[in-house]
Amino acid sequence: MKLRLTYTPENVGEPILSKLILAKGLEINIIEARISGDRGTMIVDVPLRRDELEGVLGFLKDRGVEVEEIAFAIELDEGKCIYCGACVSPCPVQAIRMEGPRDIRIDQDRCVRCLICVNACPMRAIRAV
Amino acid sequence: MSALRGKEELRTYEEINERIRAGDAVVMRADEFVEFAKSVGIEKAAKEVDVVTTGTFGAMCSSGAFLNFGHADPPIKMRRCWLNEVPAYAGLAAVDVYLGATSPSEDRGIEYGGGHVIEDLVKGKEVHLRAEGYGTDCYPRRSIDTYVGLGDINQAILVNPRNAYERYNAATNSTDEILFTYMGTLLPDFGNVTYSGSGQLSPLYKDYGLETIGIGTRIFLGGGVGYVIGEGTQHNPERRLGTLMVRGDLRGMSPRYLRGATYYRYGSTLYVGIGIPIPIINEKVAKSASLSDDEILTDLVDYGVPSRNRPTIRKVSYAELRSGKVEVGGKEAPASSLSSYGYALEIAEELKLRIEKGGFLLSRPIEPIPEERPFKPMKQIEAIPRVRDLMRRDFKTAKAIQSLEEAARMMVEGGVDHLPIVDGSGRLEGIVTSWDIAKALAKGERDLGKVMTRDVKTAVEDEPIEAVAKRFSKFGISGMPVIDSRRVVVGLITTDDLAKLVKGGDSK
Repeated sequence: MKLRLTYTPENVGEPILSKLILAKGLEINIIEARISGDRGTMIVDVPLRRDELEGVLGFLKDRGVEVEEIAFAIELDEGKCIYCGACVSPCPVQAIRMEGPRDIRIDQDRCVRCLICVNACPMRAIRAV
Repeated sequence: MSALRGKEELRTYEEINERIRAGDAVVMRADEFVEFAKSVGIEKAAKEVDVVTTGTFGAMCSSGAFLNFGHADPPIKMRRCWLNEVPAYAGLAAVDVYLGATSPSEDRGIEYGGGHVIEDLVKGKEVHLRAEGYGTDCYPRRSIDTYVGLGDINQAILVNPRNAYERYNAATNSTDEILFTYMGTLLPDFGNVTYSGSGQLSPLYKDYGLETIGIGTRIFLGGGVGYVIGEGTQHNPERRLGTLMVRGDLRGMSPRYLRGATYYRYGSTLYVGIGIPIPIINEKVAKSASLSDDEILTDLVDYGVPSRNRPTIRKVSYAELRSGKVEVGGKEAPASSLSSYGYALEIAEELKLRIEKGGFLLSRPIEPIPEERPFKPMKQIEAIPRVRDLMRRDFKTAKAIQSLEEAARMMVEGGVDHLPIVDGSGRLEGIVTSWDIAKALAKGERDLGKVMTRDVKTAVEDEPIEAVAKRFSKFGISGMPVIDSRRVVVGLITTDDLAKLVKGGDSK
């Protein structure tokens, strides 16, 4: 599950994510982090079951962090795709696989939103939504 | 040129065409023929199969179309011309232009180029035609602005100077930056491998002796019918890098097999679908047509070196490339294609069906294309200074276990600001600068191994100085060790050395 965390000037200096990891024993993957002196946003991938979500949300909200679940997907336009493979090997997390000469699969869970595939597609058949 | 080339020992073109007309020609896709020859033997396969069909669908930058718009009233002699804001070459007669696939539009840049205009025309769309002239007694008009589609103009002929590369380099990237190239996106540190070409379906590789493909060969081009009109530019058959020049009427082609494309931060191009029927006229042809992906090798090249002479890392087969994993830089890197094998298969199949149904006859070339052709680099009149011309060979190196004091002494004695750190066999491990030493002293650090920078930017001897200067400024550094292919330090180049170029006379 991918979450966008927004920090405020009050809490941006605190190691909230580390506290969360220690408190809940989670393996969190930071996908994107933009932190300046007075604010910050982070996109993290948290391996959570739905029933664990509330606890994590509560933990973060108590410390003043805004949390938002992000639905993000890489969309392939089958009408434009020519199954070349130009997007496959540049994917740094190997979320795009070629299963046959005319079969390209995107593993949305592995995707880290780097958008390399969007640019690498010569047919402009890939969109991030 | 061998006088025996193209000998029709097993069957003649006339015999093949008679069988095609009668509907009983035996036609196989190249991949099918590979398997068939493997199971029954090459001799029997050659006897039984009349035609092998091939296919390829990839970016072919040297493509474009001649267009004749007909005359306006009053008429104009076009000096400059744009189609959907893509400049076309108008240095021909009044209303003839050549629209090249890689020409970028003036409003959208490389996102929309000549290749996209060609695709739009074939899709039946009207394109915006704008032209300027200088006005003559016979062509008084100075500008025109109109919309035209394929049905409105006289000729729309695809003439591609270089298509259907027999095979192409596979690409990887040894540097620590992501590269955006005509070989696609190359991740740093051998992070991936890209390649192009359809391997066992590749038209020219399936007749590498150029026994049957020559001037006048009828081919599948962009979904329609086309012809080989000669060797392509940079045709280099001795290195199995043959190319073809082809032509065909855009009317009759399909946007499925002719597609505008953009390579990120590189340019626009055109994906062209080509299929060539290979008549099995003798056993030599059968042999080349039976080559499988694991017998077709190409060079895995390091595109991290921005020079004409990019180093080849090793040979790699199309079978390995198509497996999706290639060993490079001591690890397994994901590999993927830029051309479409799926579409290449489809083209070979489509051509096979057309022949089986009697709708596509084969033609005997009226002239063979050369089986040898020297491949020359550009003649340059200015001397390009390279790293080897300016680098120092009398540099000092240290070992990581040496002390900071020793390193400082070596730098002072040598009058240098950069000290490469090497292992027992001279291979680069890191670098320290005089600034690093100053910092280390301030912090009380004593261990050279801890002070050195391990992620060292490096140069190679053959690199043009221009490329090195670009890296100096990009990374804000003032010196780089020069290494060979085994990472052994062979020299040192610094910004001071570059200054010699400006001063002049001081360089060797």
